[in-house]
Amino acid sequence: MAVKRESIVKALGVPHNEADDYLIQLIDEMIARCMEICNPQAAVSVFDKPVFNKDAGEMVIDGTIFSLNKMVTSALAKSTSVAFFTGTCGEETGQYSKKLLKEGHTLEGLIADLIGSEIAEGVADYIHKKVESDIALEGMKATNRYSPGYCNWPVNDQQKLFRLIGENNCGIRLTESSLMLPIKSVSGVIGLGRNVIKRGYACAWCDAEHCLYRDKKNDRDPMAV
Amino acid sequence: MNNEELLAAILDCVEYGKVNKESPYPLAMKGRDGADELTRDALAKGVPPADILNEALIKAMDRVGQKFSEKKIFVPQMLVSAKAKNSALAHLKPYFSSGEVKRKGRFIIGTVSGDLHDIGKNLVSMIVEGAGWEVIDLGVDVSSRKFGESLIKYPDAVVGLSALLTTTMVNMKTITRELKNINPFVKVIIGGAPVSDAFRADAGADGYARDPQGAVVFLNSLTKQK
Repeated sequence: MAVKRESIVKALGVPHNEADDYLIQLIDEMIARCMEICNPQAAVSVFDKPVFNKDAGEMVIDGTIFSLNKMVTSALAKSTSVAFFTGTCGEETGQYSKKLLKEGHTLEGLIADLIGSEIAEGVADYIHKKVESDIALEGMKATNRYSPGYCNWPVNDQQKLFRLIGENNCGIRLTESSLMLPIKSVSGVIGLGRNVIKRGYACAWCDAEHCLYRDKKNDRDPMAV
Repeated sequence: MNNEELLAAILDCVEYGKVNKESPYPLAMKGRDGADELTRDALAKGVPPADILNEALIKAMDRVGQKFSEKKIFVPQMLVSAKAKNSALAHLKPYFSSGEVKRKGRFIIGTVSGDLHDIGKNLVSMIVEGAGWEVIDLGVDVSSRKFGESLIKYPDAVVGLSALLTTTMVNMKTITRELKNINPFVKVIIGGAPVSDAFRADAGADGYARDPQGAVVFLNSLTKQK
């Protein structure tokens, strides 16, 4: 798992050809430092025979009803099993970022924070690829991954997800407002089955106005406060 | 250097992000005194601290904010300029305490209850302070009671609310309502990745900022109304 310099440059809102030598060197140094100290972890829990109600936009697993919304339900509906995953970058990069900010090194602190986010996303990518390769051996395929709080799936369902997976959660804890701690953590679901399709994220058709990652291909605004 | 030249040099250092002599950035100013040394020298030579603040630091950050809005510079340059500004501001702090240097106003800021995200809030705090405001940062997971207590303590303050979750941004409505119960004339500005101007209207807030510069523009517009 590696963090690409280009992804940090982009996350800083700097156009590709505007990153000067100072910034490039700083980002490279910060990536090296954060990769030394981070403590990435991943966990997957597989549940069989999910029941889907497309009209209600719901998925039922072991008696727990997830209010996925119709789009996500439709994307998962042909799954014969689902894999709930959690992953984290760990506390270390967040603590390092805070330390830098406290010392007045604001740019470095922001870069460390962005690297933490990229590491967490990298853990999610790793999980997804691992699940895909493992089930391919059995002739199965995987859907795209979906997380509470995105694609109009209410973030409160995070509580149900964490109750269901129990201790297999990389040590991530949830606040009452469903914030994951460490903050640089990921969670979600991947559908598994012989007849599933890996769809792209349909942001153009989604009415989740407040989704942080509306169209993942769009540049994220790093200064969105 | 005479006083005018010193002020111009400090302005340049902040505008281009030259923190101190040791800083390697920007390359064109390598080895030269930075905002830190020049501010110290200016004070030693009797340059009024208010002049340093108004004619160098605030002017420099205005230029930085303008260039950022015009996409001539980006986040990293803005932050390095803010760091240079802070190095100068550290020398002026005793003059704020004595009242010799006045700020534009007070800005109370916090991340709302249930939310622990703080990096965006911290960036806003820094940029707003650089624009000449006194910032009272309440931290994260701030309840409406704590915001209210701060407003009672600083009744002339503008209040800024930050949230990064859809579950916590809804708290902005409650907090805004309770702040306006305390003082119907209080101005409230909100921000955060899931927040929008449409949500601002729904929450009853007075301003919405997409980025720290937006917060500065809003705050400065309030001083012009007075």
